[in-house]
Amino acid sequence: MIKNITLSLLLLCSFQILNAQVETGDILIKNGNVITITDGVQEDTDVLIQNGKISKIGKDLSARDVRTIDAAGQYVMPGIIDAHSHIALDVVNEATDPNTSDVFVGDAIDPFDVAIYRALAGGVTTSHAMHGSANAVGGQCETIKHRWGVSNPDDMKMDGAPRTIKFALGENPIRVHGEGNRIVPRTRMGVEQIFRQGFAKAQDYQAKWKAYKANPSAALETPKYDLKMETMSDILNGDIIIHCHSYRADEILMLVDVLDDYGVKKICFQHVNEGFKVAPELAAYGAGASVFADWWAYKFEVYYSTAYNATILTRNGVVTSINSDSGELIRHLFHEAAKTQRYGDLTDNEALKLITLNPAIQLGIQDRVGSIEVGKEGDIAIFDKHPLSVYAIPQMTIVDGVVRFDIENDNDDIRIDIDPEEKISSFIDHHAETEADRCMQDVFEYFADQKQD
Amino acid sequence: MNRIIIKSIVILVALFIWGDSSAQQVAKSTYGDVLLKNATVHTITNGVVEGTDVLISDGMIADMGKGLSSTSATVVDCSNHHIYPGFIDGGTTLALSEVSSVSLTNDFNEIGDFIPQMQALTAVNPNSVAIPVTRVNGVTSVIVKPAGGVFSGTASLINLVGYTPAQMDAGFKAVAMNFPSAAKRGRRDRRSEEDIKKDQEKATKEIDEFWDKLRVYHMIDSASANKSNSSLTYQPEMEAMLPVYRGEIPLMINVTKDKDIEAAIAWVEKKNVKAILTGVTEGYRVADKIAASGLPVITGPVQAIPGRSEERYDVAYANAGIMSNAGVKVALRTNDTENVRNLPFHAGFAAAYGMGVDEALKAITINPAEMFGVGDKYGSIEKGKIANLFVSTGDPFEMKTRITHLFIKGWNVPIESRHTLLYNEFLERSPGLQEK
Amino acid sequence: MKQLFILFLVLVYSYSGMSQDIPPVTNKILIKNVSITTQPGATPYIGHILVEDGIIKDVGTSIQAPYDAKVITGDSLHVYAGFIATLSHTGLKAPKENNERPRVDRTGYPPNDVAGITPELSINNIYDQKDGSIGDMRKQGFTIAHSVPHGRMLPGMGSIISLNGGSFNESVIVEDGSMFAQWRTANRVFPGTLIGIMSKWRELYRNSELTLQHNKNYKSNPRNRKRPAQDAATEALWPVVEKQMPVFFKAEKHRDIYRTLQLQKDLGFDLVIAEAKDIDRVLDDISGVSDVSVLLSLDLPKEEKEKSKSKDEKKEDMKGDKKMEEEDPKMAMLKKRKAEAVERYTSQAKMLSAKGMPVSFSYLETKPSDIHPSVRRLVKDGLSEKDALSALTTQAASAIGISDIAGTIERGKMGNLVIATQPIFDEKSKIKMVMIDGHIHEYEVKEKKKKSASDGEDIDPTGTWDYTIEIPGMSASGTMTITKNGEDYEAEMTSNQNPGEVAEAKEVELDGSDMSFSFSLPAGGMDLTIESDLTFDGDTFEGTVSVGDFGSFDITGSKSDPE
Repeated sequence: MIKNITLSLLLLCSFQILNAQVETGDILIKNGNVITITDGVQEDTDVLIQNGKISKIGKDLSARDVRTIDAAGQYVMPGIIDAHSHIALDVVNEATDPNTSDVFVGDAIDPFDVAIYRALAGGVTTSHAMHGSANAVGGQCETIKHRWGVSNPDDMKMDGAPRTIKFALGENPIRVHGEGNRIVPRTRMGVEQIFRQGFAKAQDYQAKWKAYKANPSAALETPKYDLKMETMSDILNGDIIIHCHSYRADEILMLVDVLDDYGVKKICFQHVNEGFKVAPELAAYGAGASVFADWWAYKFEVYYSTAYNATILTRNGVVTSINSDSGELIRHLFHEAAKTQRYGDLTDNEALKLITLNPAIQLGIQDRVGSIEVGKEGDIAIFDKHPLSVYAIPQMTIVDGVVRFDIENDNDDIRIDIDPEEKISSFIDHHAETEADRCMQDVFEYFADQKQD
Repeated sequence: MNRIIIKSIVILVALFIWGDSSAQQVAKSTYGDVLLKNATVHTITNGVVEGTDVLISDGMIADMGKGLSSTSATVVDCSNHHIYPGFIDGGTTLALSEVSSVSLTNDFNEIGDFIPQMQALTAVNPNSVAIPVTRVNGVTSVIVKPAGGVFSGTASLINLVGYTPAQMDAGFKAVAMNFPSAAKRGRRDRRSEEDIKKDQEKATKEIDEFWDKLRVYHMIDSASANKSNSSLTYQPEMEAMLPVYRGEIPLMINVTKDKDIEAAIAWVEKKNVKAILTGVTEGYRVADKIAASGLPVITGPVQAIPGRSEERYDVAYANAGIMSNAGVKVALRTNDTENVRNLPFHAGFAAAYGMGVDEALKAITINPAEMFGVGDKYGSIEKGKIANLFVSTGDPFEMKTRITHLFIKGWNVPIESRHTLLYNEFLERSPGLQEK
Repeated sequence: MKQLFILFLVLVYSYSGMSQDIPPVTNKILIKNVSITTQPGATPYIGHILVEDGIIKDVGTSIQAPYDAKVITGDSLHVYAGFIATLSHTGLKAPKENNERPRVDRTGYPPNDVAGITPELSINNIYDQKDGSIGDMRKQGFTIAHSVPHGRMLPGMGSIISLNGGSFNESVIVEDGSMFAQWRTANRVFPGTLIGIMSKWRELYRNSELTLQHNKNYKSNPRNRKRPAQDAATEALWPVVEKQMPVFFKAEKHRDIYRTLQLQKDLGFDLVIAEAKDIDRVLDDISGVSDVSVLLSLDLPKEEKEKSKSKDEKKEDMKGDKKMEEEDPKMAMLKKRKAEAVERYTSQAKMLSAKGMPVSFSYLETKPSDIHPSVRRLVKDGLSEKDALSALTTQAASAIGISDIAGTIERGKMGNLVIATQPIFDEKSKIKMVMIDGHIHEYEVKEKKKKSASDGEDIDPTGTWDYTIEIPGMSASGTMTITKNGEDYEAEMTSNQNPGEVAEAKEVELDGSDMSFSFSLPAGGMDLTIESDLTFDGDTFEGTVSVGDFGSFDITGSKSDPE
């Protein structure tokens, strides 16, 4: 009998397959009002991008054989960065355990999600594709660049961006696990223990492997490989930035205490509606805050909110960003940032920092994107009016020097992938959706038949 | 599915919302004559007038013109400031819901498919924390509207000041209707195309049957009007629909998909009722047909994603403008609860994407007022109208602009809300990082 | 409805019990004067084939018939090597799906069987020689199948079996030669999503490597070592880890394909991508890499109706049919894009071949009766007949490592042949005989009546029809009512045995004179799908009814109220 199926002809040589080949471009943007973020607004100035990187900023620049864009009277700003989104993902929540640090949403990237194009049409070039908030320790996230048009999911990833992971506090993990599965956490007390347990076990795990690796041949047994513990260890080692879904002041302080006990420094709180109440503590710990411009009251833990949150946090020295968490909001983050001028008194530059340099800092990519500086990546958004005006319309969005959105060349049907098994065109009444599912995608199916009393 | 949370949260909500929350109570509104001096007045109906005074007296715009004076009035210098009529949102659940994920605080969706007798005004909570949050952005009146079923209930126009629903009532009612739809209700709608079609057909049939009963009810009711003992058995659904049937109040017909809009127009013509189309997400696809029907439209939210994956990214932004330019009378709505305050920003987007600032302003002032039959009282700065207006540092669509004074029914409303109170308390927290 | 289901079951079971072959009287068969295509690309010639003891003894133009051979006259017939199903569930029933939430202590740590992780499962224990799928595949010319269990993420191992209808032991060619995997999540326990599957694979694989190492260490020197605990799943993966067993990974759409490649890159196992539907996006990325291969899906998207129009009609449309001009240009564009998408799917084989990569198919999602229509469609859309035949024979054999014994008509190979009335890719070709291990299975070939109204024009099937389903030894009859509702058709069936029961059809579709629909009958916690394909001709129709995994049966009918 033939033992096993031989595969001489069928072996897949996949090594060349997955090497992402990021397309970069050259482009010269002439005579715009350049909002650099780090060096003021430079009027009537040119920006030259070569090989995907900003190579020159100045007056009367020229370059041979380079596409030139006339931005006279227009506003040229760094590509907008969204520190919290769920676009371009096939899966958001693996909701089966309070700790799913073993999963990566980077495995679920959908480069054909039309939300990517729509985000580009709002000037957004980079977003933080996050796991959902069903679990206290959620999955690992992926920082993506909006290279609309590529088909290899790997080409969407921002190669070299630091690893990040989703944590979640409060109602969502409590609802999913305590209420849903009748396991810890059913309270904010339980949520704390998930973190403490995770970190303590990871320390044991690290010790076990360290001992084994010191002398494998003499080892009594081979330790088990545990992907969750691997991830928790990497957090302890400072290799992963935590982005924690949070609302209430008490739970925010709780996580700061836990992290302090384990020496974990890299933390950015997400949503953090009551961050304004503990802004001094956040600033002292060096924690970031990524907030909504004005969302509140849709659930009880955001009832005591203020749209002045971003202003209070900024004024207290917390690195603050404004995020979308929504395929709709992501299209007008410039407008969300401008709301800090109604709710607070941030300057234009402070307001725009909330959607450029600050989210870049929170994602650990501030050396590459977030401002218009020589040497940074060629990610640019061009507006017809000042981007903080309600009347501003994004004209062109450039990623790595490649034009990915151009209002002059906006096709009627921009879809790339068409499923031949689906209806030719179908209308969805999005207003009929409830708002409760923002961060809880994939969780509702999970609870489909659940009985509660 | 949230029953447990709800139980625990309801108690909290009860404690916090309706109990004493002293630290975060906005100041009282005041009443009295106010003379706004030397403002740029955006009348809406009569253009922009500079250097003009507006006199508010007895809840009304008592006078308007240059160099007004009053012995009794508090004078407010409005130099370099602008006066706009209060904005009107054509569709919200403001004050009908406090915390949307806590279902026991949601009072806009009653059981039943044919329940026009359900009165939104009854469930308005005058102390909803979201009311001050909304009005400080210049939104002075909103439609509060029930949802769900076919005839969801009766919507009302309310002013955002007052301690009782009756004080807030702005004198307009309409029955809210969901037109049978061939649209998927959100991404998680798992119904097959066939099921959607069946549901739509079923609803259409039920409406026809209901309407037939209504016709008979109306006939008997009319015939027995002068008789002492009517044989008519009181039916609350029918009673609530009689004014609709008789054209005394309109139906607010919510309809989204292009084909459904056409069907709704045909239905309205057939039934010969007074109607306002609401939602109208795909109005841009059938704008000419809506214009030809003469039906007014309340559309929004403007900041929304397209209903079809292949559709251009900006269709929702452009929708209001396309309809307006085609000759449709358009008003805007946020369809929101706690963020109705964004109405001027939705209007700003509509303005930028083809509607223009003047039309966008009308779409949240005079247009809805006229649609609601209260164009003589609201929607513009004119002598003799109710004093719903605000003073701002500039264009109220722009985020940078500040609203400095707000008047609703002549009440001088403080520019305060939970959000401003928390700001004041926490901007410089004390104690800060000190131990005590 | 339930009654109708029970009726079907009774009929189907009685049918299964009857499938008893009378033993042949000789072990020698000579097929004479038949058009022989020995292998893909070979020029057919008229010759003879002698099969003895289940092995091809001789092929050629001058073979003498042994006196004790059964002689089959192959005049006007065409013979090919028996087809090989590279990947299928042949002989294996789909298990009952339980959609209730499993009772586990912690949803994050379910037992392996609940999680759908059973790599240790061999089809040895579950192969059912009476399963209808064996006969159904055989009827389409398949003589050998690589069969893998149903399941979720890691259902188990595949074996290669001869479709001779015998027991597993009588049929098996290669036992447990492959590992089968797919992107199918567990039911509301971990892994509940595809990112969970990715993570589970990584963890399982690493632990398999570690336990393998530990077991080796223990074997070489057990002193001062903990005795290895047994773990079926990680142990079953040892041959995969050691690259002695390939993983056949079902990955239909390109994103699943990328994920599969990602896993392969991370872990390094031998991989066959199966049931691929849009592999072309990957092909662009791997252009120039020569030894890459995949198994394509034959589950093709429905053809757009307009495509069925004849060329002449299209020309007429072009000439200035007012209707065309009036059509909403937006809708016209969307239709065009959809048609292009359909064509992209049906051109996969062509594109694969153009890159110099071998084409073969998998059969996990395709009804047996749809296999040949699908292959013909691929040929119509540009796949060469040589590649198409190779996909069914030589390439299939090579893909599962049995080229030595199957795939061509050659001396010494298995006596597996397909005999058809016309060249196999001809629209009118019917399979008349299938030989497996030297045994002949013969099929009645009905000349399909010419389509009456046809040429794309829809006929009117409305009315009440009397139908009879022919099941050997029994027959089921009743009435079927078809009504038109707007643009759509609705169908209802009743059975004479239980006149009170009415079954409502779903997905009723009419294309020309062909109508298809399905019934879903709930029974014992599972949904049984009954699919019908009918062809109408005036006041009569004929077609097939397939009942879940039980097999398919002929159905005929006539109008009970002819006009």
